[in-house]
Amino acid sequence: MKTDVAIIGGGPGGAAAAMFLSQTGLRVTMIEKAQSPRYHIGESLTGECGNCLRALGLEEEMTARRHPVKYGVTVYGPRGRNAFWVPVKGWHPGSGLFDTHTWSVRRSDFDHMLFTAAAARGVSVMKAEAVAPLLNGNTVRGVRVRTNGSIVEDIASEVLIDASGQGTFLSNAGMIGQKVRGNYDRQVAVFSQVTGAIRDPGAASGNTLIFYRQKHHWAWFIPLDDEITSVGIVVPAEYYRAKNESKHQFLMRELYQLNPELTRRLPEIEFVEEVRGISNYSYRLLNFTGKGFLCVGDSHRFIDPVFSFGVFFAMKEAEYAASSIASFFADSKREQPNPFIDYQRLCDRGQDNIQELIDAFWEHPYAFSMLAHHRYPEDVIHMFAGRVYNETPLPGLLAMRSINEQGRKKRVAHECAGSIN
Amino acid sequence: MNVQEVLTDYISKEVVAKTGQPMPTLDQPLLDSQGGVIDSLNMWPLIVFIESHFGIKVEDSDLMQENFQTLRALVKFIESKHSELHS
Repeated sequence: MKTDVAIIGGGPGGAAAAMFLSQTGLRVTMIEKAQSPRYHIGESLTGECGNCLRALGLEEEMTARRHPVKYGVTVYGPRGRNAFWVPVKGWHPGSGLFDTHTWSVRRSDFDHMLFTAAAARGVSVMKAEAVAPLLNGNTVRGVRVRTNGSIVEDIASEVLIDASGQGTFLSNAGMIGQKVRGNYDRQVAVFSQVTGAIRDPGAASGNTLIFYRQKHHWAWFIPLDDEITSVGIVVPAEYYRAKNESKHQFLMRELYQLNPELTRRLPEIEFVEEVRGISNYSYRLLNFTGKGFLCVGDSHRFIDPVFSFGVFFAMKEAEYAASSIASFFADSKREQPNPFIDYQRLCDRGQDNIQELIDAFWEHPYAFSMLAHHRYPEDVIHMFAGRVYNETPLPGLLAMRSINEQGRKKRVAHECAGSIN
Repeated sequence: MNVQEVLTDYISKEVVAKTGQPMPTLDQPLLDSQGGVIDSLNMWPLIVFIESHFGIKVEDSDLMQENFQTLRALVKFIESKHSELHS
């Protein structure tokens, strides 16, 4: 079978890439092994993620499906004090910031909506498992898939998009090198969905809440519909192991110990889902584009789930990937050694900028707080929304970068001194 | 008053008097993550006071936690900023 673009994965990254590409008239085949809908976490969308949905013409459907409307995120400091609020705001080159909203979503519903919307827009959907990329030298020529147990089929493509998420298909296939470990140690997330949680009143009831305990130890609180709230705890893996509890015990204890403001919001809760746990760590792939392929979202980089950039990166990179692929097809020569290098640089810039934001938040909480509340509140609104791709960095971002760099130098100096002694 | 006295005076009037916590000694932790009296709420007024009283600019890169860790560290930071300014 032949297609212009083959996409591995039918999650938000794959489906968004498929839809953006379908607007260009290319033949697109999306390969997904799981039955949709399927469970996933990562339920809060950033402001610019909302704009990706608008660009795909899905705002009406988001509203009709009554996904909770998110106007911003509140981060509660230790002991429930010192909360800070970052509103979701849009930005217009002429008039600056304006009020807008995004959503939080039950991922099984949301992902299924994107998946079926892609199919409805002329994307071929294939229920199959990607087995291996098809290669010609260092050029990816397609993908071998396994359908229905043992039937193997080769799909020839001009471009293969890896949107396999943390499955990191091309990396696992040895195509683009090994994952490089990121800045953070392994983390464990334990989570479920509950009824009975107390939200902010009125229009604020759909907002995302984050509760900070200490470095790399926090909780999320994300409304999924009028009744049900997703709650989860993220901790260093070491901490989780040392507790030696069942997932259920761990979640119950943490929900009532982590932060008094979280305790207050969970007076009487009932779990409507099993308690689940996952373990992950930050990683990146340095070369995630090349002849005949590119990666979007988690398939090339994962930083940290705090501040909810997961779905945003998947969908925004899908948008950029589609435009980069459209230019590739429009170019009759196609002689560049890597036709997608500009796309790769753009993705790296966005992810590096968010890495600075998150590093500053964990490593320099006081400085972060001063910059976010007092010196560069508007820049922080841009960053939380996901406006992080400009060539000229925001002053607030430069401030965080300079603090992070000082911190890194000090840590290196400290470690060197340690190894000499 | 020298730098240390000015800071002690400010913290005792503006922070300690309002929170009821004991005044930290020169080497006790100042930041609330280590049990001190300065949190992310009263840190900003403290910075504004330092800038106006001593006529220095606390740069973004000066906001490193170690400059605020103890009263001694903060005094040292202000004195070095001050001498930068007048050298």
